[in-house]
Amino acid sequence: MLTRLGEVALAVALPVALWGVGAAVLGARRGHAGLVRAAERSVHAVFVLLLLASAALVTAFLRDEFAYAYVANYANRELPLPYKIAGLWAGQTGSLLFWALLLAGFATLVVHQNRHRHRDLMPAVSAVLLGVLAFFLGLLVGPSNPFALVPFPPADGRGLNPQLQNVWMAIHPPTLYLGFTAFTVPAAFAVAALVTGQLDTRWILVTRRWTLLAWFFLTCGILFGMMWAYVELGWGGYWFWDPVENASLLPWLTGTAFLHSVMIQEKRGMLKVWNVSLILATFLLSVLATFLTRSGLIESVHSFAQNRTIGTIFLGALTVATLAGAGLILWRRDRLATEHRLVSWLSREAAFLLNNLVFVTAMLAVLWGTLLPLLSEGVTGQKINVGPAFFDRLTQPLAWAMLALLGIGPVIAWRRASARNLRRHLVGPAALALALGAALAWVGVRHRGAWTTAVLGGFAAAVTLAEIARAARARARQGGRSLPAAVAELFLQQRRRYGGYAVHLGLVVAFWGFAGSAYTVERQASLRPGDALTVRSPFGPIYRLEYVDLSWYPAPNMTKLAATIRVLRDGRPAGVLRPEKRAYRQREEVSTEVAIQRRPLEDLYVILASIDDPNGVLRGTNPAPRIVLKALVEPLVNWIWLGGFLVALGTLWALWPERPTRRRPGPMRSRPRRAGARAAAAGVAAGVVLFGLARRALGQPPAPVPPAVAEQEARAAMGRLKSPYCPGLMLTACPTPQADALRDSLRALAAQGYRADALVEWTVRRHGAAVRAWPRPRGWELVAWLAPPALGLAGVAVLLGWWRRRRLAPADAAPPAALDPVDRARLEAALRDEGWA
Amino acid sequence: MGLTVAGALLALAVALWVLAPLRRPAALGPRGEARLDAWARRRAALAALRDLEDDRATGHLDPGAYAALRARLEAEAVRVLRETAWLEEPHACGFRNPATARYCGGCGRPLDPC
Repeated sequence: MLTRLGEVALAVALPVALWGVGAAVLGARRGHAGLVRAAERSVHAVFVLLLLASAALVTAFLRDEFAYAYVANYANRELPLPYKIAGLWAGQTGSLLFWALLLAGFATLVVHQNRHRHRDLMPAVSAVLLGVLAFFLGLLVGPSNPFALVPFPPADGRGLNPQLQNVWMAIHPPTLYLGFTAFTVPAAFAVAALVTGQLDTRWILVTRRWTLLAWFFLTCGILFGMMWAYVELGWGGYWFWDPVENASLLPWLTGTAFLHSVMIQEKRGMLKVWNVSLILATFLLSVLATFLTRSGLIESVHSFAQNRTIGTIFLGALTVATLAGAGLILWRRDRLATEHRLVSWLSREAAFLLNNLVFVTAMLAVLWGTLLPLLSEGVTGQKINVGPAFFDRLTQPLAWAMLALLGIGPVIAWRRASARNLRRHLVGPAALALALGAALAWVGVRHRGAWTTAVLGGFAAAVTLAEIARAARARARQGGRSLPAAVAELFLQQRRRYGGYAVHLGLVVAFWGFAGSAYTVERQASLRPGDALTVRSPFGPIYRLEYVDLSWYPAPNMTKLAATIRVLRDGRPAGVLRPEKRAYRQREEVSTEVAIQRRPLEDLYVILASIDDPNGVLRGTNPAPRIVLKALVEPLVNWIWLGGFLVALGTLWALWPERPTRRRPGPMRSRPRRAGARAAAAGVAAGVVLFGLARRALGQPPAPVPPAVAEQEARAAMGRLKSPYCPGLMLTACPTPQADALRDSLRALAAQGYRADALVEWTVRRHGAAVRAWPRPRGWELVAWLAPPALGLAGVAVLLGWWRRRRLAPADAAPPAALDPVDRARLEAALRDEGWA
Repeated sequence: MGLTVAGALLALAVALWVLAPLRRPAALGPRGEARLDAWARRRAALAALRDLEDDRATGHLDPGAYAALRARLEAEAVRVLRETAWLEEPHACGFRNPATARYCGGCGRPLDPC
């Protein structure tokens, strides 16, 4: 009964949402308070109805009601309870219901928060939120109904995809969806500002926390997804450049650009069109992300949820929404005029502009690579596949630019930076970064990508820490506070700024973790009980993995086969690992469960790649079969998670409301400049010497370590190849024995001296052009390489053109008249009252 | 049959609740939240001046840029202080409440703006 009632609730919610849109629009046009309030009640009603529908679907999962196609496809009787609840977002239709539920929840919160404020904006906000909800409800009632019945209910369901039976997968989609849906709120306020013409900074201030909240959830969602890929996909990686992963990155990139560019509008009244466009683009990209996950138009590891009908509807809705947004901006372009011009390219405004350019170019590059297979097939009839190596090549320079700007942006002066400003803030950290680079070269870091990332990260971290220290010292000198007290006061009183710095530091730590992946070591061997596999960590220790035995035992929903591996680190016992194969009874699928030994500097990642005679093990005729064991040493991978944690913490800190303080500090003074100049000069001298050393070290030919070089070339080739045995998967991720054999062949060829390009061509000759995931720089495939940099250059050209036009525009508005004594006294009293005089 | 009745009742309840404001439109003007909004606006305007001073103290502004920004932010802050001056006025009962209070500390009534 409850389940059927959920179905009815969905059917009732659609007309309620449509009514709400109409009531909001009509109420705003006629100034009818009752209609506007009725529209807002529609938001609450839709939320309650969606809650009812979602509860009904979860109940159907808990009661094993396999008469529903969705339940039959994604659950079975033995499925553990948490995964039955997670079944709500395991497939396409449930995910859409969950998306709508989260959006309705946020919409209810927004309407409640603003029931007595921003009344001029709220009708349009309600209309936009209800419009988006009506779209999703239309899908749920029509082609994607989670309550659709099967003609002949099965006795048991098919069960959940084994890869989804993981704790991170239970958390990752909801967090990601929270991010996607929360971005609808600032977009709705932007549309309301456009519709009402209230285009001052109010909509930005009102939605500041919503934007940060959405960014926080999206960041956490992406991070959880990476953790899931790392522990579940069983190939040692955490980012696959899969279309669905890319789709979640797209709104993150534009959302990050937006978080920075709004500061220019707040401070200088510039970039109004850009900010409105960015937040609308972020919302549309969030919908695109949902579209890419659900459409099935592009091959993906997320292919457990696809429906091309839905894809067509999403595409139509996206087109309409894009045109409507562009039309609104054009309509209001006169009210979006900038209040100030860009005075100098050496200014914080310019640094933020470049930051935006880098983020948007990165977004376009990722979007281009994601859609390229589809576009190339549509235009030329021949699909151009791209893989991680292609994305790495395109995005690496952009990531470096981001890291450099991450250092420069927070310290460069507003309006126009002087040479002294730049020297004072940047020379010392640059010298420290070069010292770090020299030290890395000295210890043997030869991978140029990793080296550059580490050095630029060091620069950004040094700038950020120096900035915090400088501000704390200035504050400490005011009233005899200790330095730690001053740091605490800064973080407590200026949460947005210093939370942002924590985010920057977290990103640097994460990038250092990414750089570490260049030194991943992988070894594989076929072992009998008593045999051992040896793998040397890039940090020096040697791991010896001894295969003890293989055991099996039944568990709910599956049978587990676990190899017992004794680990010795530099000859000393270092624990036991049990990598597994899991045979899921209902779905008749086998999955690989890796075993990981974590350390601050590296992970030992062990995969039970295959078992010679699994049936013999289960029957007891072959209790000690031969196994293929794969081991990876992953340097600095835990720094990615630590960096992500810092990013999340910093965002929460920035998000938290500031508390008023009653302390009365004295006036702030500039620090003595002589000491700064001395430090900078010393930094320059050290930097010059160390830079010379680093150049010498990097200029030397690579050390003669043939197996390592061969491994690097083989891995580079694998990163450019799709697997001929696992449709849609890269060769690095394909778990079949044939793929193992192909990888071994590539390694053997690489050991003979073949380079990555030759290995790719060799594989393409054997398995056909479809395995190529690395466009060749000729013919149509050249376009794949040229388009993203061309888009970036076009962005630079637009910026330069805009700047030249601005130079001809009138100068800044005349400065306001001096304050009269009464106003000045009032202002000073207010500042004193807050403790900021 | 039972489901049809339940569905009809659900639809009826939702319709009655959603359409109720059409009969008796509630006031949409600012209420207690306006006091918090005004306080937040005032704090944001003053915080901008604080940030500016921090930027100067840490060497992020040359004197010209500092003077121009200071003049602009001071003018903006004074405008906001004028518009939110009612926050500092005593309540009708004579009690002077802090800016963040939502209810009068003297008589317990809600602190709506005049």
